[in-house]
Formats: sequence, C-alpha cells, structure tokens
Amino acid sequence: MAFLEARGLQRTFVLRPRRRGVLGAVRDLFGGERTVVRALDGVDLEVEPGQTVGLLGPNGAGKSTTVKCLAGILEPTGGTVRVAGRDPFRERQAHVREIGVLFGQRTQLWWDLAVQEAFDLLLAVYGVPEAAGRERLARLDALLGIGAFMRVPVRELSLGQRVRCDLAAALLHGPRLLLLDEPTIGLDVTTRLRVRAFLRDLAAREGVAVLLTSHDLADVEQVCERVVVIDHGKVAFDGDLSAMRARVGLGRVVLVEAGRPVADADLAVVGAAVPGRVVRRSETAFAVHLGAGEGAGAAVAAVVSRGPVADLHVQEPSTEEVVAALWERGR
Amino acid sequence: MRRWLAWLGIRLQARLAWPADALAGVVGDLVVAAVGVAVVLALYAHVQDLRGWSAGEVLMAWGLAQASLAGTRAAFGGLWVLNRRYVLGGDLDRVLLRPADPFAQVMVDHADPGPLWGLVAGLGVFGWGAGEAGVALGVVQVLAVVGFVFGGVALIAGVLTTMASVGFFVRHEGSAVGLAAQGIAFAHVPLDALPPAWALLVTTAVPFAFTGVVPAAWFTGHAPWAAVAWGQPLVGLAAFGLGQVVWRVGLRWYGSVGH
Amino acid sequence: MRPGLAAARLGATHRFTWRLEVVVAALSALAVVVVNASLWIAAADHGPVAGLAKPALGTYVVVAWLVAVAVGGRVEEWVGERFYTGAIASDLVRPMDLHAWALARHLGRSAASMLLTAVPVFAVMGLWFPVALPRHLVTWGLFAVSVSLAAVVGGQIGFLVGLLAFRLGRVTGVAHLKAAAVWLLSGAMIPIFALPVRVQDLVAVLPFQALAHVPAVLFTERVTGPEAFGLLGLQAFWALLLWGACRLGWAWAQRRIVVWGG
Repeated sequence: MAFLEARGLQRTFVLRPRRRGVLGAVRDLFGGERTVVRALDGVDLEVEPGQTVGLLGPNGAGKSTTVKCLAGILEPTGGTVRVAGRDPFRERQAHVREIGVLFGQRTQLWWDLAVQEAFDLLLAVYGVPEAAGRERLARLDALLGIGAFMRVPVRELSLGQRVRCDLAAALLHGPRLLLLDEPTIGLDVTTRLRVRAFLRDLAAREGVAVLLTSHDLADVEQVCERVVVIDHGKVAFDGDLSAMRARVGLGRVVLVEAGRPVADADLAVVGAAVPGRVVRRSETAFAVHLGAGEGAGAAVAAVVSRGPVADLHVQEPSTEEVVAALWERGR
Repeated sequence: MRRWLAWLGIRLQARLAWPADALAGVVGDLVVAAVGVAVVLALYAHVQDLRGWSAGEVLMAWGLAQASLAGTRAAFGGLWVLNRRYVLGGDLDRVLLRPADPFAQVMVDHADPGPLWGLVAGLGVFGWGAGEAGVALGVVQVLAVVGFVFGGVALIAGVLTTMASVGFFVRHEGSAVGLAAQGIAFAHVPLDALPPAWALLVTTAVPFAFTGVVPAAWFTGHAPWAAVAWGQPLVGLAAFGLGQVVWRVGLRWYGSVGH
Repeated sequence: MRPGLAAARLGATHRFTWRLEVVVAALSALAVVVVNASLWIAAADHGPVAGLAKPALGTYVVVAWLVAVAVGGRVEEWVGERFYTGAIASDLVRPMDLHAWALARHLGRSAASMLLTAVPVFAVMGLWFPVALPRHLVTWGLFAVSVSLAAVVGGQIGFLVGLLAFRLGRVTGVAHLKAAAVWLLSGAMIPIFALPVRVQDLVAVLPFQALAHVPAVLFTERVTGPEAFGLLGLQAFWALLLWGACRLGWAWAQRRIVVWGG
C-alpha cells in the first residue's frame, strides 16, 4: 500500500444561502433554501515518501477540500483515505503527529506569542525531546533564515517572515508528510523562490512527501515532479508537467506587435516556416500559436526575418487554459 | 502531563504582558459584584425577608454563585470564544491539527487569572452574608465552600460547554454561551420566589440554582434543599460530563458536515 | 435621508439575520426579567414596595428592563471597535457622517429589538407575573414617543462612551462602568422609587432615568397628563444635550484622527 492513498474520495457540502433584507431575514428564521455542492467527486491519489506532488486546479475545484480530508479535519462523505496506514479522520491525533500542515492564509502559530515561545510550545505539545528540537530548529533556521526574528511576536511578522516560520513550525516534529495549501499566496518573489527551494530540498534530502496546492503554475513547475489536476472534484490529470502540456497540446503563443501594417503574405510565410498557426490580431499585430512543448526560437527567427518588429512577447498557457483544455478532453 | 503545565505557563506569561486588559477585567468583575450586591441591598431596604430568605442568606447564595462563575471564567474562559473564534472563525482547524485534546487546548489557551478577583469578591460577599445571617464559618464550613465552588465551576463549565457545542449543529453568530451565563442570575433567587416552571428549569435543565441557593441552603438550613445540598458537587460533575459528551459529538459532526 | 434609512435597516437586520440570534436575545432578556420580577414581586408579598403594589411593580420592572435593553444597544462597543481596528479611516471617507450613521443604525436596532424582543417577552411574562397593560389609549402614544427618545439618549450615551474609548485606547473598562450605571441608575434593575433617597436625588440630575424609568412610569400610568409631558420634555432635554455633546465630541475626534493619520 502506498504511503498516502486516497480512493474514490468524495465530499459533498450543503449550503444555506441567506436572503436579503429584513423580510428575508425573518423568513430565514422559518427555514431557508439549500444547495448541495459536490466538492470532491471520486478522487484517486497515491503519494510515496520523497515525492513532490502539486495539486492544481481553478478556484473551487476541490484542492483545499482534498487537503483538509488528507489532514483529517474533514471527513469524506465517500471513498477511503489512508496515510501510513491510518484513517486521518478517525485516528486524527495519531495521524497528526506524522504530518505537517501549512495553510497559506492562516498561521498555525499563536498570534500573541513570540516566535521562539511558539516553537517551544509546539515542541512541548508534540513531545519532541529538547536536544532533537534545538538541532532541528537550527537546521531550519539555516535554510529559512528565521533566527533573526525569534523574539518578535507572531502578529508583528511580515507575511514572508510568517510563512517561513509556519514552514519551520510545520516541520519541527519531523513529519513524513507535508501538506501545503496555497503556501506562496501574497508572497514577494524572493521569499517565493526561497520557499520553493526549501521544499525541493526537503523532499530530496529528508524524504518528506510534499503535497502542495496552488493555482500558480510556477510553484508547481519549480517544486513538483508530479502534477495532479483537479477540476470539478475529479482528477483530470495525474503525471508530470511536460506530459501534461503535451497531452493538452497547448503551446506557447508568440504575440507580435509589428508597429507597421503587416501583409497577409508575410503572415503566410511565417506560418509556413514554423509548425504553428498564425492568427492576425489587427492591422499591425498577430499571434503565432505554437504546438505543445515547442520552443519559440524558430518562430521568433521567422518573424524577425520578415522585417523589424516593435514588440514581441512569448506567452505561456495559463493554468486555467490547460485545465479547461483538459476538462474539455475529459468530456 | 508536563507539557500541559508548560503550555499553561507560557500562556499565563503571555497574558501578564497585557496589564491594561487585566485591569479592565478586574474592574469589570468588581463592577458586576457591586451591582449584584447593590440590587440585593436595595431590595432588602424594603423587606425583612423574601420567601423565608434574609438578606444575608441571599448574599451567601449570590456569593457562591459569583465565585463559581468567576472560577469558570478563569479556568474555562475559552468557552466564551469557542463558537465565534473557533467554530465559525476556523481556528478549530488549527487546534485539530495538533496531537492534543482539542477542548483542553482551547481552555488552556484562554486560561486567565484575572477573573480570580471575581472569585475573591464572591467569597467576600459570601462571608459578609454569612456574618449578616449569623452563620458560623468553621473548618467544615470552609471546606464545604471549597467543595461547592468546585462543584459550581464544574456545573457551569458543563452547561456552557453544552451551549457552546450548539454552534456545531446550528451555525449562529451569537453567543449561546453568553446567554447561558446569564442564567447565573437565577442562582441567587430563592426558589420559592420563582414561578414554578422556572424553579424547575433552574434546578434541572439549566441547573444554575445548584451554584447558589442550593449550596447556600446547606448553611442556612432551608428545607428541602438543605438535606440534599451536599450532593451539589456530584451534580456539577454530571453536568461537566454531559458537556464533554455533547462537545465530542459536536466535534465529530464538525468533521462530518464540513466547514 | 437615504443613507440614514439604509443605516437603520442595517441596524435592524444585522442583529437578527441568524435564526438562533433572535431567540438568544429574547431568552436573555427573558431570563433577567424573570429574575428581577420574581425578586421584586416577592418583596411585595406583605405590601407595596416603595409605593408600588404588585401589578404596577411587576409591570414597571419588566418594562424598565426591556426598554433599557432595547435602547442600550452597545453603541459604545461598535464605535470603540471602529476606532480600535482603524475602520474609522474608511468611515471618514464615506459621504456620511459617522455620528448620524451611528444614530440611525442604533434607532433601527432599537426598533427591531422592541419588536422582536420586548413585545414577545412582555407577552410571555403575563403567564407568570401580574403585569398590566395601559388602560388609556393615549398612554400608548406617550410610551412610543418616550421609547423613541430613550433610544436617542441611549445612542448618544453609547456614542460618547465610544469616543472616550478613542481617548483612552480601549473601551472595555468604561463600557462596564456605563453598563453598571445604566443598570443601577436607570430603573432597569432597581425601580427608581426603591432607591435610597439620596441616590434618587443623584438620579434626578443624570440622563440614565430617561432610558428605562420614564418609559416604565408612563407605561404603568403612575404619571399622567401634564406631568407625563413634563417627563417627555425631560427626555427630550437629555436627548438634545447629549446629541450636542456628541457633535462636539465627534468634531474633536475627527480633528484628532486627521492629525494622527488614522
């Protein structure tokens, strides 16, 4: 059995929207309407120690719900989940010892304590022996650079500092699985890069299984060897990134602003020189749609050879486009 | 269990870093104490006895009830924020992700020595009332007071835990705990003065009478409660146990129904 | 006018948009009223207390508390919180005077409270206690005016306490004192007639009696005719005075906020 194994995971929610106005409020007293939402509709997932898996999908796809089910704070309405042989929800306290969780928007630390105090408290709660705790903290400090603000109250930390502290906090007790829900949201570029490097290192050297959700493709590209795309509560794709792009067949788009009127003949020549579709956008601008995995080099060379251009931009397919394309395929 | 003590230590230390808050809390407690006493005194300026209870006796009941409530706020202060901050606000997730009993975690995180002043005030009022009522306070009586206060704390904590757990089943922004805590006002009303339906309520479903008038009857000899008042700590423990059961069921529901 | 109505509607719906919330508010008031009524009516076992016999006493105690709760409204906490969290900055940017907004909101809330809490609780109290309705139609009119004025007074007191919070940095301690003053000096917990004479003298020069005592006294018809109008005039006096104080206070606060940059 895999270290982390989810089969046919299902989760439905019942929502009760509130009605507007005083009359609505009074009517709500006597029973409101309900809608049933299928957040997860049969998700299969397997993760082994040391793997880095990215959970991708648009908002509302079911990523956070999956993480909550894996963490054990939400009970699936169908299917099974096992982490290290345990059911996260039913054996929560034992399960929680083995995992670390980071929710991007919320801290796991205590607002009114200093960072060091919060760490001490966590070491006490998880029952980590002092020596091991200090050593681990030192190592985490070396990698994340949090030593500088040990004495600062958690609420006074900047977002970047806080996320790094949360990362350290999640790993203090040496978990074998790290779950991250939108960890880089709102972070500046430097911190983002640092966090990604840290996560790669963690999986490679410590053999920690890392599962992160994001709707930022870059996070997943730089950290994860494997991508799972979730849409409408189902797994739309599970494999590595390049395979995903290839499967979808969506390539980059080279946007050209020529700054001068472009003749149809020119477009035809470019189109013949490059294995891609050329689409006119205006009198002076056009786009070259490349195939999946193709470099933009040949296209750019062909464009420039036809004459000077004012501006040129290579556009990546967005996650939304990839996922949408995947979903279209799926149907 | 050492880790719980360490936890408590760290939290209390952090709390002491906010003297302004503590002061405001103390003022609040003393204000409530003063108001309660003022009402009783104003009342008794017009009558000598209220359905068989003298001023001193009512003060004794009031004092015990207040002491119990203060004790509950000190040790179980978390109950007041449980619904708004934890269940609705989502902080409960954070608590569930740690390998320690969630209820205990929340209670320790909000342990507050401030209300202990209210406890002192309550005991003070009790003592004063005992003096007025001519009740002697020997060692046995003092031990009884300790027992009754512990029983009262357990009882209030239990009832409030049940009320707080309602938030699991019915999402509501308000404070059911705040409402229930108001029930403590019943604790010092002689049961004969209450309409029968209410007297029944206050001795059974929301048994706050057991924090005030009932244990006071042990000292004052009012029948029929004087005979059974010694059982008050048991009632308290039963209420506490019920609260824990409802809490656990609610916690299970929280994970099942989703949030 | 429109923003005012919007604020009033907001105040009315805000508290009661959750099912349990309405029940909680009503039960809370019910509990206190039952306790108060039980105590005072039991005290009147052997004869009238401070000149009030059981039905009048019961009615007074019930009405006083219910009105006090309806017009109490915790404005001070609302205002105080806005200062504390800095939301005040966005309030200043809106084309709506915070003071007027707070008052409109409070009035809406008071109206909702009277309707959804005071009325049902009063109705239910009749089951256990000898409460009486006014015998004359005009009393109802006087009562309605009185409660409206009480709401204004309550809102202004709350607003001032909230401004004080701005000055002091936090609201909790002062809010406690204000609540205590209201409980003891407005007639909500102790009928004014039952207070020691010297305290009654103090009460006469304070605005708190406008919150509960005056409406209750009018409702129980202990005071009628010209005297009743006199009491309404007293409430109006306090309403205006406090309103003026709030305007001054708010102007001062606005200057302070702008200087500090929020």
